[in-house]
Amino acid sequence: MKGVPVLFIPGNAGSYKQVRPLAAEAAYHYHNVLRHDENAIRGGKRALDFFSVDFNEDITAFHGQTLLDQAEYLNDAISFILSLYHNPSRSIRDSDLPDPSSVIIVGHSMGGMVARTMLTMPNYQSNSINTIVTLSAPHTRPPVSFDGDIVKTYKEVNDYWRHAYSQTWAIDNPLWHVTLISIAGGGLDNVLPSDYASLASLVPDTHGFTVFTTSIPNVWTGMDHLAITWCDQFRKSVVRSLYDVIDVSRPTQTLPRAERMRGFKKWLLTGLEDVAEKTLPHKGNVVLR
Amino acid sequence: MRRRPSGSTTEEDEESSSPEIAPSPVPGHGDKAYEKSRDSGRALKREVHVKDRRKDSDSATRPATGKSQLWTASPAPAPQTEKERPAMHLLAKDITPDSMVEVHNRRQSRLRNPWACSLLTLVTTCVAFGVLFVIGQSFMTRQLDPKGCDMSYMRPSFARFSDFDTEHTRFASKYSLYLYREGGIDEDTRVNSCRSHRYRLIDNF
Repeated sequence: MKGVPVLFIPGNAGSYKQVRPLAAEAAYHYHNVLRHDENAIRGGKRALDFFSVDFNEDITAFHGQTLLDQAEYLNDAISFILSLYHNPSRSIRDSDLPDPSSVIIVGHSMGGMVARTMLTMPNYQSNSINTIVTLSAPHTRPPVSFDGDIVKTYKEVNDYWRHAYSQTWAIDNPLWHVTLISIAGGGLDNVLPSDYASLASLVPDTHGFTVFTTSIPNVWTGMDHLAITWCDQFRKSVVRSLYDVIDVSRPTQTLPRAERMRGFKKWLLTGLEDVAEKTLPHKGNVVLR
Repeated sequence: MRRRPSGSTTEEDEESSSPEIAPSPVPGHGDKAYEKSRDSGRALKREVHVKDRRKDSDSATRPATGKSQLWTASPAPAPQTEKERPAMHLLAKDITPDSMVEVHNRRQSRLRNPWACSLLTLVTTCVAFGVLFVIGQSFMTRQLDPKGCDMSYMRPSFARFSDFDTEHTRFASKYSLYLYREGGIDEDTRVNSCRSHRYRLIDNF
């Protein structure tokens, strides 16, 4: 059995155990469905290896330096996780598969912001992150702005992202291969206003989108700040979208950017949104008789 | 004088120099003061008179008139100003009647009880509290999205990477890294894991 690494980042005062629902669903889905599907196996689908970090329930939302410390630690953790796969005594992947060079990130709440901060840190290993999914994460502004450090960190990180995506040429954009999906709980989330999760000012439609759980197909319900980590219908949609975007035959472990976006849009958007790709033109002409 | 809240200089001048205008026309309230002032009007030492009368009128009028006249919009001020005005003209020529009215109004507003409130204020406050309550109640109990999440179940176990230590990161003492494995399906902690380092799976149900 060979896996694709996924790293879960808990939020403000969160626990590493919050990864349970997602990771369990991923294990069951592979075990019950994908394992028996020849096409999926040939298409590079393998089980997801969920990693999680214990931050001792640090309060990231109130302290900018803690946020930076966590981001630095996580970059080190990614190097370590990738080294596990390179070590043949610890990995039981097929030897003909390339060693992974990147890790998928799932961040809850402040963990989503930490994930975006990781890419701006000096110890970030380039291209080691290319897929980020955030659950109820405050991207646009700090949820609590008592601390000057956190406001400054937010400004620097957001400026970095905006600057990267405003480049004319893809070669100048360090985040060209990064896709960011922000999922918000809607009105029931009374910890964090869902407007904070908006990516409209940060990431172009080609690289990410924001979606409310109320409009995700098969979920159709709002959820509060913690429920988003365990909601059964929701975890199914997220896990299926993650399986859709992985491909172990590539070193990145994921499909190219455009195909990843298609996978996420398929599972998380209704198809009525402006950003949703219209699939009909791709399918060729059908003549009805 | 009944209505004398403060000892501004103009006031004192006016009263001390024209004692004959000072007494109030309203009977019963200012009687003592009236007597005094008439007596003292004949007195030679004005200063003494002023002090005396002030003390006396204060003690005499305050308890009697206090609530009914001072704290409510009293009918008295209008005639009083009428009376005062000519005197003012004679004695302090550089003070215009307009400014005197102003001074008087200011004095009156200062007299008003800080706790006084009109019926309108009272009603508005009550309505405001009512609306606030309704807002709070609707936020807490009404117009909420239905909670439609199903519970999820799992058999979690975690393997801690104890060899991700200070050699790899300076935060190793503070934070730690775990691998999740689903109980009953996939308990191999090699990445899946290792034979040399046997990670202990921590079950927590």
